[in-house]
Amino acid sequence: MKKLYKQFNRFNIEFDVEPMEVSELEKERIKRKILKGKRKKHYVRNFVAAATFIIALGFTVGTGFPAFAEKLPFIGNVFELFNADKVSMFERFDDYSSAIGITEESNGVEVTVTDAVYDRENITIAYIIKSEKNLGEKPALSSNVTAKELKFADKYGYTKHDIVEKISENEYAVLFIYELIKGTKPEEVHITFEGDEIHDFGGTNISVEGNWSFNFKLSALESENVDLAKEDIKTEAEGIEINAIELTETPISTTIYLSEKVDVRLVAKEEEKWRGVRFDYIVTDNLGNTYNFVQSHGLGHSTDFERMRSEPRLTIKNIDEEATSLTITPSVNVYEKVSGEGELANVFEPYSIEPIIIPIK
Amino acid sequence: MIITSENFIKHLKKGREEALDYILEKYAGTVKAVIHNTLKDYNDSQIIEESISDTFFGAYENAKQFKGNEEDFKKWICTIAKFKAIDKQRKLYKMPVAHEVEDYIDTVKSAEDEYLIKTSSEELQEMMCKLEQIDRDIFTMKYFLNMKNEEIAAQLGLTKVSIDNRLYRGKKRLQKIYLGGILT
Repeated sequence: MKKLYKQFNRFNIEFDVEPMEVSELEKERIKRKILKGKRKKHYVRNFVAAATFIIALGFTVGTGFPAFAEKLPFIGNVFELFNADKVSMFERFDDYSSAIGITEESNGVEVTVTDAVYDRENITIAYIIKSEKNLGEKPALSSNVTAKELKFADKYGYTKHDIVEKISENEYAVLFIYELIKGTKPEEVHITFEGDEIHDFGGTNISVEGNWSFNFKLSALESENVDLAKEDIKTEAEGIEINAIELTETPISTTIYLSEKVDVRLVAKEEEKWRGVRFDYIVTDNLGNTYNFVQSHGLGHSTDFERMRSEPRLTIKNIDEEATSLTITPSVNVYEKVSGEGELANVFEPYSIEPIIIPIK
Repeated sequence: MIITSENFIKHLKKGREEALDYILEKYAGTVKAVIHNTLKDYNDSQIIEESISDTFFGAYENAKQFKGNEEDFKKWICTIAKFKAIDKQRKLYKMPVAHEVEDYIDTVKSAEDEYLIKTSSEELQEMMCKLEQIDRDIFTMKYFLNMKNEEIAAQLGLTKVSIDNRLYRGKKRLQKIYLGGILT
């Protein structure tokens, strides 16, 4: 069919017609039909892309990482900065990351990529932003990662996170995490990390345009996969089933793959109106350690796509060597739309269900 | 972001909903008129509305295939509208496609013609891959857009006779390929 559209373009046929009356109602119906068709199609085709409900994906900005010392005289390694918190997930990044040390200046803003690391699960890039300009509270590069080895992930299977800390009046440290979810996980990646805007995610609308681009190569760290799918590790509640399907251990972190199945109408106790369901997780071990994590939410669940599976992924620091089991407690959030822009609000108080317990060997 | 006549194509290619709003606002009436001209005999507003949706859906999904300016866009979306209307007709096939009622060499529809009219757009398209580009264009105009041979001739800067001949030969070729395929 694509060819046909191209062909039509070449035809250049004149149509001499008088436009007819199309009522607003008719336009609205047409538009709704198009968007519905588009969403459906993309759901099948695009793994992570369009179909999510607004909060399901996107930027996670600096939550759960308390501020560290206000002024640091010298910055050694950016990962260090994010380790001030005892439960930080970046403990071992320092030991395994490659020093990059490239600085680019554009429009009065200096960006230095200090370190980066790739462990087949995530590409994590640490950088520092310096400027005399006011960049707001949590500025980060509206960045994009491309690598010729990552053709598929480029388009569909990734989630991005930016974790930002202000380190002095006009200096900020940012951890950019690019989660590779589906697609190839090559030995080596030739990365182009670039952005054309620095944007404040801290609530102001401050942004500075420019052009920052970095090229570097990273080799994959060793990793080990444990298939949990056949072991039937799961939790169930009314209208909900969550399975643990895979666990990956790399020198710097552990990643847990889950699969959620939800009957949204049943869980939301709502027959007609739009509802969305999302889980927040708490990760602990049998020794009482709590783990911070970076999460990709997967597709999420909403009444637009009934009974679809969503496959979220949690990346935590390496599990305590003494621990024998990991406990993942889901808390259920039910959302309704409160504005035309898709802003969501909890319908009722989030509640926890029985945890998933993964034995560690 | 404000969508204007200068930037709507760019935003449409990016799949922006605002750009869809813009083209709906601007072209829905024209698209409706093109579709209405083809499907008015059905006297069914729902069929027309479905075809309008199909048209805008096609344009929205395939915006990347479009090249040109605002004026070209109008022609492009009208061509899609015409195609969708005829495609609808094929699917409904309640009545013969009203095509070629004037002095064309085949005043009685040939078997191949009947076949080409009844075949689905998808099958036809697949078959047409075997033809050269110029014949593919002629076949597309003829069977997907229901254009008269004269109109096709004017469009391509060829004579009507050469269009007649090319259609005739093209049909024979397709017949050979497809019948040959079945027999061997």
